[in-house]
Amino acid sequence: MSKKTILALIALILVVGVMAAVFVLTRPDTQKGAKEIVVVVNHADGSSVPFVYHTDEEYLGALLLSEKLIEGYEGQFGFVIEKVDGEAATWDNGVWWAFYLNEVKPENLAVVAVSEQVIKDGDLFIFNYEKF
Amino acid sequence: MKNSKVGITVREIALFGVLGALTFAAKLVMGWLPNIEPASLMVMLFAVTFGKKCIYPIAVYIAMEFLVYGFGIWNVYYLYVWAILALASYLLRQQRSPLSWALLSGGFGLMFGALCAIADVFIGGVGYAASKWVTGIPFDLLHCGGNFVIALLLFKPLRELMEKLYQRI
Repeated sequence: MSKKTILALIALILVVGVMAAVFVLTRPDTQKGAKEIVVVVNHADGSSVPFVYHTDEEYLGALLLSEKLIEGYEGQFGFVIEKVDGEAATWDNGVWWAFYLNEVKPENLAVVAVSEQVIKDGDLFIFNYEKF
Repeated sequence: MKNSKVGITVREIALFGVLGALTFAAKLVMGWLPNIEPASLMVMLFAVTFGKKCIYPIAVYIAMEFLVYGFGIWNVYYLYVWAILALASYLLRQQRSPLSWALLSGGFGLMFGALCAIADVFIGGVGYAASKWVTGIPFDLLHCGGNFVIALLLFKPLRELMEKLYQRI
């Protein structure tokens, strides 16, 4: 085993450690207890329907599934949404349900699946029917 | 007789088509394992065996992914991440140690999220790209581990096999 290979192995292990630490330290804490959140669904016909929930759930996916607002399946990276408020949008017909935090802007696209999205009191989530 | 550096023979067309399709099929079979895939191994093998002609089987693999899974943001990532791995593999092609290749493959898996974040910067800005990368770290760690083990075990025997086979066509 050459010296360069050993150094590369050490570097890989260090980077793994740093990345794991970054993930653990930046994870948002979950919040238990009664929380009020708003979920807005922007349908294909332009209508906008708000849903207000009072919940103790820690993750949005669990809440919306129990409220039957969303339907879909468990994918490799979390829950994949196929229907919101009864309206279907699957990737294979050129449309999808984009999931935003607070406002419909590209930089506000959620970075986790709905099943991994932490809920905090006062949060606003938006499902926007979009073409791509 | 092989043509110039990027022109290809009929036999190579067939070979690259089959290899690209095999890569896709192998990934499909392993699809139930989160972020554990054989594509990284195959891309590295293509680069060290075929040199610049590795773009052909890689392009076949990417095309099959696009055709089967449709279009989305991830298409943009695929347009450059595999090219980066292929280039790195080509530059290191003189390496023979299985551990070296396992380190390259593992490192690529670890950095996959960061590489995708490059495109995310243009999609949603730096904050969006950084958040998405950080939340995807567990998947990158799995990707690193899976790639490392697969390359450590399979790169050397598959490289020898592919080089022998390629010399015969």
